[in-house]
Amino acid sequence: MKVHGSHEPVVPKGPLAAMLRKINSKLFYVSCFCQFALVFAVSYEVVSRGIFSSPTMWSFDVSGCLMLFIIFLGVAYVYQINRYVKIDFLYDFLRPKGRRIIDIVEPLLSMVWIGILTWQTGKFAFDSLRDGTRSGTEMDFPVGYIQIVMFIGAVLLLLQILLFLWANIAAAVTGDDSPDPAGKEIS
Amino acid sequence: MEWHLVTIIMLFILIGLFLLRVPVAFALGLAGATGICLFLKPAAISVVGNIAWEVSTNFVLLCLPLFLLMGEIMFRMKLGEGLFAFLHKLFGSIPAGLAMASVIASAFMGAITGVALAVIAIVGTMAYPEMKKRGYSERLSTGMLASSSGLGILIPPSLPMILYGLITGDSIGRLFMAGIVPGIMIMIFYCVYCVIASGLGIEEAPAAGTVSTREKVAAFRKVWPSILLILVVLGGIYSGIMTPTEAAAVGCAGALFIALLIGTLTWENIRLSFMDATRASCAILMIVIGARVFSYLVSVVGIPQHLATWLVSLHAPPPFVMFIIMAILVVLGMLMDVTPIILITTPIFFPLLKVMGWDSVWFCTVVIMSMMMAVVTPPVGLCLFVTGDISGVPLQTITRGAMPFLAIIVLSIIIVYIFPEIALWLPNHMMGSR
Amino acid sequence: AAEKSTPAIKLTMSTEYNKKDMRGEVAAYWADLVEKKTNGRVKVELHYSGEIISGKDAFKGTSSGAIDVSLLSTSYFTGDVPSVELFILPLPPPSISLIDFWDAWRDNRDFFTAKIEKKGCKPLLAFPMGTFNVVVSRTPIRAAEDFKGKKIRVSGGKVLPASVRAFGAGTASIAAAEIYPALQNGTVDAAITIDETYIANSFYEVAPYVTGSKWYTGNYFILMNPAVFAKLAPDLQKIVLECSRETETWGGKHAYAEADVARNNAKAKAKEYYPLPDKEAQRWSDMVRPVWDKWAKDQGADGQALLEMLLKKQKKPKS
Ligand code: NA
Ligand code: NA
Repeated sequence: MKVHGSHEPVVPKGPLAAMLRKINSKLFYVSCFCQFALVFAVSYEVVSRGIFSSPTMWSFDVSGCLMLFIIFLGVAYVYQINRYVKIDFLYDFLRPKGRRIIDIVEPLLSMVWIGILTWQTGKFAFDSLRDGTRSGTEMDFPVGYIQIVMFIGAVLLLLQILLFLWANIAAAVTGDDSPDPAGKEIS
Repeated sequence: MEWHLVTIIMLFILIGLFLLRVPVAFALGLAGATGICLFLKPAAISVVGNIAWEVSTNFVLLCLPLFLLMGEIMFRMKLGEGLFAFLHKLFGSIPAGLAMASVIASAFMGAITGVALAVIAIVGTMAYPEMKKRGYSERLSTGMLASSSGLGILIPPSLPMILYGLITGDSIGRLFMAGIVPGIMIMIFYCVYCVIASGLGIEEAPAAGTVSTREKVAAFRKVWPSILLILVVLGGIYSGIMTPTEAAAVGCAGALFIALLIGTLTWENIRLSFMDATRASCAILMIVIGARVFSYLVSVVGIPQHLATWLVSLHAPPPFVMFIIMAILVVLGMLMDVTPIILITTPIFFPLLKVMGWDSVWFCTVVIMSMMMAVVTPPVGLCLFVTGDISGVPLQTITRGAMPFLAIIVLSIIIVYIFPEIALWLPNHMMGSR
Repeated sequence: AAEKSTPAIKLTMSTEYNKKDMRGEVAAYWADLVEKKTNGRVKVELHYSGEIISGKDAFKGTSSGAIDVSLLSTSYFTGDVPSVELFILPLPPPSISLIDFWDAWRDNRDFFTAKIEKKGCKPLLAFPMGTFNVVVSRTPIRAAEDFKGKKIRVSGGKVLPASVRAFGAGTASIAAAEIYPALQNGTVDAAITIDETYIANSFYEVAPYVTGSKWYTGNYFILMNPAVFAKLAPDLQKIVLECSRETETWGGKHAYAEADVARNNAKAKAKEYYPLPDKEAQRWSDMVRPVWDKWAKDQGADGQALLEMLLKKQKKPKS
């Protein structure tokens, strides 16, 4: 992982941060498993259709759901390990003090968008649950239960950013930026 | 509000957020949402839920996580290594051998898939570490990889060409065929540039040095895992057994199986490749969600329509009109992804063709060539972001590296403008001229 | 531009069809009519080709207010409002004609309006495609037995794939943009589509055989966000409803006219355009009857009444 700037990225500490980190890492493993399941689901369809001439009913629906799980069960973890693509053009020019400011502004702005995403995916999912919306496909499953995963992922991401914001504010106040060893990427 | 003011404000907001180091995925979403609140009615913000759901279950995008995974498996389990080592030695004393190999690999991937993202997903993950290992400059290797991914939409099959054909009613087969020769031409230009740039010492791309024939043969023996996999994927698609998305999944399964045969299938490798691919899928698809929100705003405000209407009102001579069209496509290419640009501008430009006396198939080729730039140009360049994601190289470095390749596309567009036969010869020859 | 004393109400309208498509033309007809009849007090900004929202998302997009008005295929909201699947039931008996499907809506407007409004959209009008879907294939299909073991591309839905399965064929879920290459490569053997799409997407290049079946008829709605409608002044509401009725009538007629043109084009481009004989059509219809019954059962209490809306026409003497 490429680390820009003179100081290591600040990592949230404390029991809440540790718990969240654990949840996000576990969910990311689920997300990885979904990636595996996706390979299986799509390959199974090829074999079933190509060799046995009997396409499955479920592959199409299941693949779509799996991709949604892959994205939203992993989004918080990707933020936790600081792997969203960012543009460091200005940051690289700044002195430590300027960077401190950006380190606080960035999560603040990110939270606005993820807040909107949380609110809207939540509304979307709960509307579907309330109206009993079904997929209208052959499996005809209630879509709300799948859509709620978008909301859960967004909430976890929002919490994760909030903790980073808090840690960055604390670091700016105390000037302490020693990284927490527990915050390293699981490898 | 005047549309050009809206355009400028949105560009400012987006660039501002980028400079404040807001992740690209979030900056796009936030800029889009801000624009919705500023210029549209607040209720429209609910489109965010729709887009998140649509993108995460989109059947065409499904190929992205699969191609990313296939690339990761090939890299981690050393399936591609043999091929790249062989090509490196094969080109021997010619510099930039691996860069040429990557350009050609991108063209092959382009013949498999219809979207540029899939090309960079697999070639990028596989080729970048190999070039890094051999001392290639970051700028050249990432700029080349990002730009070459555009071959995915010029060499058939091509999703944007299908969308174009749907709107204009042109034969899809004809549109596809028109892309082949220009695609090969650009591929050759890219290769030539890589050799010249490293030969002149502009870019670091070391040659393998003199290699004996015996060594080359020895290296060739390790090529079979990649060849086998390419046969599975290409054969599967062209024999009609599977769609490109399905081929990606079968390719992953096949790659795991070949890794088992060559003894690189360890738990550690499985874990690492799945984790890296999943992480990249999350990050990239979040960018797609943000980009779709942003492009919803650009569409509803009607920026493309305004640009085109203004163009029609000019009553200018054809070469000048073509220049303006290209300029418009470049500007839109900076703001949006390829699909919405094609969907919006095609019906607007199409009526112009008769007035200008242009062939619709040829025009499509030229438009798609300009879209090869759109996938790379900042601030919204999906292939640029993916290259940044898988290489960890700063986006400004990649952009600088891509500049010469963008210049090559401009040159190619001029060539195809002057010699339309480059695009039209093949379809006219194969399907009879109209 | 000169500003009016009262600023115009702007409506954002979306359809996934393009400008030249028959359905895109109906959307434009409605938009123009509303602007004209309201003397520009209501402005409609029509976005084609699904450029702002995909057809699949248009129902939710309209109910949530992401867009104000949409023209979309009925098949996209059968998951929200299951009863509207009546309008697209596959392979009706030969005695049921296209107009019967349209009448099922026109005679029972209030019933369906209530169902759709309950899920957050206000239906303004509905019209059928003006033709039935046909089978386009790589090899000739003339009898029910020809489907055995074939892979057929159908657009989504619950009933449609089931109808294909009733013939011992398999369905393949292929994105619309991938149909051409899938037919070209033989990933699928055939697709259920309409003449117009057969021409517009150049499917004839890769699927030279057409079987003139009555697989199902496309059906389309124009929906409006109820809150946006409620906010219109009463006189504007009245005009919008009148325009919608007028568009519905025009749309239906236009659909028939366009379908004739498209059929002739398809006949010219196809290697073989095989009209399905009545006897075979009856056989096909009988084969999917269990699918109809299952669908009616799934509708619960409404099931039989819904089927009656369509089938009662059969019993009436032809006038
Ligand atoms: Na391609
Ligand atoms: Na771009």
